[in-house]
Amino acid sequence: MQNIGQNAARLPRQTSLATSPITEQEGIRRQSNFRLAVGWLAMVMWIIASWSLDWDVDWHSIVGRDGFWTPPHLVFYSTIAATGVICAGVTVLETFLYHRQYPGYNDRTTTPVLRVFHGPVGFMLAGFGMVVMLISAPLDDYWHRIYGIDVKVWAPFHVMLLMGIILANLGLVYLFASEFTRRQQLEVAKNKPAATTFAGRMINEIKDLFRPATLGVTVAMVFLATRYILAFGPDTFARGTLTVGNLHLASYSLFLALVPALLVALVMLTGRVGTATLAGLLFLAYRLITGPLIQWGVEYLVVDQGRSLRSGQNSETVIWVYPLFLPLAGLAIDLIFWLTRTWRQAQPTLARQLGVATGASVTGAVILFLLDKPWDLINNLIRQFIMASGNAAAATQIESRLFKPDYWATLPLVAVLGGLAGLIGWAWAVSMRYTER
Amino acid sequence: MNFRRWFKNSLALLAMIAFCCTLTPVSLTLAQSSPTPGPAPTPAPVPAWAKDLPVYAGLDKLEFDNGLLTVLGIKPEQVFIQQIGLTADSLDTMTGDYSTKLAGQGWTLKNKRGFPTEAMAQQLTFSNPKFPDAQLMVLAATKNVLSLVPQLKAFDAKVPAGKNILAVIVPLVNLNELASPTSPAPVTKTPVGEQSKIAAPAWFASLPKYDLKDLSVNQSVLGGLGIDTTGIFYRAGLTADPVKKVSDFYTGQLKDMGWPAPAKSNILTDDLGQVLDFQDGKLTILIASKAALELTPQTKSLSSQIPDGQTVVVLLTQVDAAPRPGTACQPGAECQVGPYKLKISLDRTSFNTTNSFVATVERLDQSGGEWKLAAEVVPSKSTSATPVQFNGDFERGTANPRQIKMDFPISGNWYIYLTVKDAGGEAVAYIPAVVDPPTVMDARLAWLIGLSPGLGVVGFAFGQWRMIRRRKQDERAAAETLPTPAEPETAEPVKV
Repeated sequence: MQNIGQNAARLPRQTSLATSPITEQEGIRRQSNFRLAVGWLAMVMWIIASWSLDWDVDWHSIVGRDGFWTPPHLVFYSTIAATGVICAGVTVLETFLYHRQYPGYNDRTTTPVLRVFHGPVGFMLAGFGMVVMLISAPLDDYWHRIYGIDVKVWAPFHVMLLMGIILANLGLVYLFASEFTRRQQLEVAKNKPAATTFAGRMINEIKDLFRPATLGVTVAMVFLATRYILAFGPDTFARGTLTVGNLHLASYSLFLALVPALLVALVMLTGRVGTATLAGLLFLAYRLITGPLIQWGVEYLVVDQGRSLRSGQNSETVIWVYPLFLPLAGLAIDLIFWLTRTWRQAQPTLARQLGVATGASVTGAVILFLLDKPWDLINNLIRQFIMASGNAAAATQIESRLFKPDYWATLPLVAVLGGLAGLIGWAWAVSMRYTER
Repeated sequence: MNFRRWFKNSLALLAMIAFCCTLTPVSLTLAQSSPTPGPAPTPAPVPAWAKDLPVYAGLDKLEFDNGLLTVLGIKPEQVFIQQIGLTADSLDTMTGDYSTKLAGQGWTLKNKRGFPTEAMAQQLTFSNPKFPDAQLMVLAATKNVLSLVPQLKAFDAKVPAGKNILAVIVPLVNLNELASPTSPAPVTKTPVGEQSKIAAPAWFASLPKYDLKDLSVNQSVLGGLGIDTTGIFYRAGLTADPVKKVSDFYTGQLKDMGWPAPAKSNILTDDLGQVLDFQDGKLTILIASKAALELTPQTKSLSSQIPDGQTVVVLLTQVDAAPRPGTACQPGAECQVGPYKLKISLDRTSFNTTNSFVATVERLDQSGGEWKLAAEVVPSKSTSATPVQFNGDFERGTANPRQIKMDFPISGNWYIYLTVKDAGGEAVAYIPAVVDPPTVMDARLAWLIGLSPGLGVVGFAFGQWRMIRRRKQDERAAAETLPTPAEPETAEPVKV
């Protein structure tokens, strides 16, 4: 891989080093700091937007949709708009600096779009995602006006919104990933001495997890996971089983088997053991915090303001914490990468890289399969309810409808999907590590 | 046992318990302070024998919330609560002991029911030959019953764990007239003949299309087949295909669309006629041969319209009537709503989701003086929407007539509810409205637009692929002239 600072002279456009008071290297460092600072601002906005989207889902089911300007919509679309403005602002500013030949702004550090604009690919992708979401808003409202509030998730303009969400979140991932790569190269150029003791190295490694670019890409990945689960989780869970021949496979486990792709990509991108576990912990923390916040959002704005709830609803939200054991899957992935570190680096062949990526991913998927069984909990709750009621007829009727997948028959397919997730994670990590602009 | 019926029964019992808990003999004064307009049943005075009923000893005081009564839609003046309280005794002990005491006074147990089981709650009714019109009800319930219903959750907190509730109730009106939350006051149902008042629910348009010739079917024919024709939307057609083929088509196609299997009943045999009931009456498909129609006198008239060898297919759905009690009014006409004479005018006759409308409410029974008005649009059951309130709670003012601007967020069948509140009490009027959707976009176009951002995803992925390919070529070229840096996947982590 080429070093940005060293190879700037090979670029078609020469920067105005001769006339600028700062060096090209310093310009790149300033640019990286600027992108990281603004990137974190966008990330915070995205966290609020993600929370408000989760809030909106509960608002739809508990309160309904008595118009477009519901409180969750207001928060969601205003944060989206603000983030879009931030992304557009960065692109316009960097385009200006590029055309002014400011040090650090050249064809190697910016991505050209529509021949005129030059900016960081992460910001532009995130901005595009925000625009897609904003465009989808009136179209979604139009669709709801025709077909009602309980339009299925897979309606045309919901899909548009989901694509916007995925694009925006991908943009944030690439934003931090590219800054991670650039900073890594800058640090390599500095050739800093490493700690000599084991404890010192451990402390450094843990501290490194919380550096702005590393933490940024981890958080962005965590929110990509939450969006993936928001988009596919409830529907998959409601579907219950995926019928293949005579088998009724646990569709939730199959959908979950792809989650390790994010964790593998994260570890392979950063090369840091611990990022997958940290991602799992952050994911769980978000799920635990967001539930009470949504509950508050519903209770405060519905109950206290005298709004009516949908028929048969109360203001209690369901706190969806699954996948509950993502930190354990992350820990297993980290451990595998840690244990194979010497082996991988001794002979860094493609086969070894792929082997470790898929092996770690399969392990993560199997752990999630074995531990994350929310249907068990729900089935047991229903059973307890029936036992309490003592109604044998209702018990028989409901028992026949419980979600009872062919559990062990699902395992081989989970392993296959886990392996596929490992391949996706590896390819994605390669793509991110090559992204420097 | 039908689960839904079981749940409704539970709800009815809970409602009864709730209003028992909400009322004491003293609370009859409540009724005087907030009179309810409308044709409320005239309560009888509390009978003298009610005061001589035996008392169950050792009951703890039970505090209750009057708001619960409103939630459950129960009128306080309809009952006299002889006794209510909490005890740790089992239900069987309570009811057994109390029944024995009542028997000593000449009361006979008429009926005993469990809700949903006798272990959870029991309802006992008694009669007494000495008082031919006397009605007496004893309710015993566990705390567990209360937690089953969301409306009663707040009340549930007031019953300590391990305590059961006992209530002795003397209904002052006929037992059948007592309000129940599951059976709202009768409302005027929109007859099917007034098709302008009933629009097909949106999902109806997405039902599988069978090649049918149009057929006009009178609602009396459907009534003759035992179908409740109030508030239904239906379409009928003719086909030369046999009954079974049509039945298989709809069953299969709807299954593919995610509908559950229907409850199927035959008209004598499955090749003469079939009735497919999807989702407990959400959609009913009647498929009948000419021979089947000739079986009953009610359908013979229809049979005469059917050429030989043809099969009649009727798809119908219960669009339902007004979702809440009230008085149906016609726009622009005088309307007696409870004690108030109103004239409600709307500034338009057709409605859509884009334009708001103005409702003008004029009090004809008086002029001047402050009165309150609340407005709400409420979707019918077939419309996937939630009620929308306007101007929040009751809007005060002296103006007569009063105007209120409203809009419908979603197309379909709606009801405009206007609540007038004054010294005479609260009265509700409603006007049904069919709200037209905006111009419906072709589904293919919608999907094309919806999926268009996918181009961005593809473009980005392609750009990344090209970039990586180019960078690898650069690396290979550089390797010939420059020292090779570490592979991206294997580079030692550094502080970033």
